[in-house]
Amino acid sequence: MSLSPASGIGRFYKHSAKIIRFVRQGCTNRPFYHIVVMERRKNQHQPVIEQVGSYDPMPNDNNERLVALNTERIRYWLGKGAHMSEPAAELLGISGLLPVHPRTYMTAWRNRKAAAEAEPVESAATA
Amino acid sequence: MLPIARGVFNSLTLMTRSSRGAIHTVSAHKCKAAAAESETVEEITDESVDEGKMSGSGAPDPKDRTKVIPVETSMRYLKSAAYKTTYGDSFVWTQYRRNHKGMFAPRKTRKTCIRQGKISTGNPCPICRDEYLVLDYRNTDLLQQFISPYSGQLLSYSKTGLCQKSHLRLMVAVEQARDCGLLTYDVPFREYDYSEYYGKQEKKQEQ
Amino acid sequence: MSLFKHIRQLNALQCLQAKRQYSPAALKSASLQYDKDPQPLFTDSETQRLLQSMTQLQLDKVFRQRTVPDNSSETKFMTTLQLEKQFVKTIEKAKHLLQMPPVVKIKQDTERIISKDPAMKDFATTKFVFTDITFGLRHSERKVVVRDVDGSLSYASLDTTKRMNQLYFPLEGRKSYTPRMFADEQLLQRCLDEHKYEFILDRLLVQYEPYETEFHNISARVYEHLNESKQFDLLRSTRHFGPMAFFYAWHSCIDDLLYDMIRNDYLHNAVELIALSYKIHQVPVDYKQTLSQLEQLQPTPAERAHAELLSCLKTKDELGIEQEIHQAIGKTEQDFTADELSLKFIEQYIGSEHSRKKVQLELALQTLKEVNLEKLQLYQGLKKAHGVQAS
Repeated sequence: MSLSPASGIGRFYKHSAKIIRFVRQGCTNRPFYHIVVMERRKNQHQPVIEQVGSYDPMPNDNNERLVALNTERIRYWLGKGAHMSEPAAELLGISGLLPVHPRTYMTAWRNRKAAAEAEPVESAATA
Repeated sequence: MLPIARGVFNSLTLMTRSSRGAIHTVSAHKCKAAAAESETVEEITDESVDEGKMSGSGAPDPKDRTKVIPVETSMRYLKSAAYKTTYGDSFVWTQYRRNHKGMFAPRKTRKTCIRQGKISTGNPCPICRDEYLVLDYRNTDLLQQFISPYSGQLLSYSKTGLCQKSHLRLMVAVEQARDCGLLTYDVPFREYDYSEYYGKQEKKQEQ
Repeated sequence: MSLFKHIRQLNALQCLQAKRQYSPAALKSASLQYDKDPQPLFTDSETQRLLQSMTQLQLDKVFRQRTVPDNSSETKFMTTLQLEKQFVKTIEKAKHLLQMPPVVKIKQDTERIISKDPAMKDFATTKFVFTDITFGLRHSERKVVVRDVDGSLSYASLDTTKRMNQLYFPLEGRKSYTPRMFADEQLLQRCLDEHKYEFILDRLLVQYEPYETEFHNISARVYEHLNESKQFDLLRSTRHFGPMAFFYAWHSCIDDLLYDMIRNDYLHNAVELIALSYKIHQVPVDYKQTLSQLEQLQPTPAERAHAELLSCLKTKDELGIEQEIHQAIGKTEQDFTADELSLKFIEQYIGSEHSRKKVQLELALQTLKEVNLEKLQLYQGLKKAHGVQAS
């Protein structure tokens, strides 16, 4: 499927619900997301209103995940009352543009807990 | 045309074509022998030993390409008299003509000239026919012959007649040579916005 | 596709080798560095004027045929008026092509943390790098922030910022990895020995930012090598000549360049170079008076190039006999008076304690004087013979 242009060709109603969400591009076993604005009721592979960023969830050589955000347009659409999908909201929270999403704290807590539980087991195994 | 006449005509053309190729390879081989002689004593002894092992009859197989020629030899060969007598002042690809049926050559050249260490075709491409031409990023004299003096780009295989495999190796070698700075090229002009580097300080000075 | 794959593999191999053997920081650092911020002196309007005048403007060199994919030229019919306007535009374009790269001090990397959030520790296994891709921002204004694994949010280091800028807004010609030419000591030395100064510097400009350590190290090495090989003509009338002259003046090693200028009969430039070094080291010598006198006598490089363009409009008959004499000898009366002024100034410099190669410079000056004297005699003789003075 060919990519739709970042400026968007998606048609939308003036008062319809918009959403900032991910669209999965990339291919099998290689996810890559576009962060886009589109009508809420539409399927992710429909034409978008506008692309406002990208997210590469696979860490690169320097062990970092790259995110690009067009902050000016994101703020514009949020001001217009656009909704946000949960992954997108989480990512924007991590970026410092919005307050950190509660789910990020939950995952962090769970990860820490899992690590703490795994440690004694490991030490026991070595001993 | 009568079928017999056509047959005679075809065989004639075949003969002329093959003889042309043969003449070239023979002359090239003579020159290479001369080049090998001019090389250091060590190398010559090595070569003769190798040749003796490979073919009991004495004369080396002109189609054999299993021997690895070092780049340094190739670089020396490009400057030698043997090279001069073979190619003169023209590029290694200028005298080469592709053989094809009909008026127009196929869009792509053949995939490779060398299969299983032997030349598998009667009309090998300019790089494959001469074993002393080694494509390597250090061999800038050779690479330079495949770069257009006007656009600085690599010449197409439709012009040079290189087989696809040689062309790929050529592209890699040129890219490497540029990376190492052995081949110069025109670097794109970079425009500086001075205010990006000086802007803030100038404002301070004004205040 | 297969080509790209091939190249990528090779590059990965090279990068590994490069990392193992030499990293760019491990390059033999040049002995000469700017000890304080050179920016205020470099951007000073007087310095800029001196450097531009020293660079000269040779149209043949600026507009040489470049081997780039699109180097087509256009042929047009024009009236004389249109042509003259086009000449003015051409000069402007040439000036633009000679834009000097900025000379700034090395920027130090500082860690700037925006917020720390211990509750977010271990929220993910890797760092997150956020780049603002808002349209129309300049590279220096673009914000790049990093969220670390321990939950702290901070501005990215200079290195990361450059990488992200190159990723999202690529600069043509810049590589995402260090070219082997700059990473490998021997390759760089080989390029220098083959006198590919312009190529190295051009590539340096594209690959590095002017405030990076590598930029300073490599450019200093090139200038030092050039000072030894004395092939200054290779950089004359390119954008690198100004920073080079500035570098020599700053580190007070202008004598070789001065010698080259005197030998090539660019006395005006020699005076400017000495004035620049006086200015940088704040030597109490009044150079401004000589400079202003010289400026009145001689045109700027841009004016000279413009006159050269205009002269091809005139036919041979239109040129007066006086101009013909000028062309034959290559100097006008004003040039001779300017030469006298500059000779006096240069002699003063050679006599002072600042010059280090006095004998060599004096000899060059002496030969130049003799040649000039001959030319002057010839000039006067020709004038007399054609009866120009009488009219």
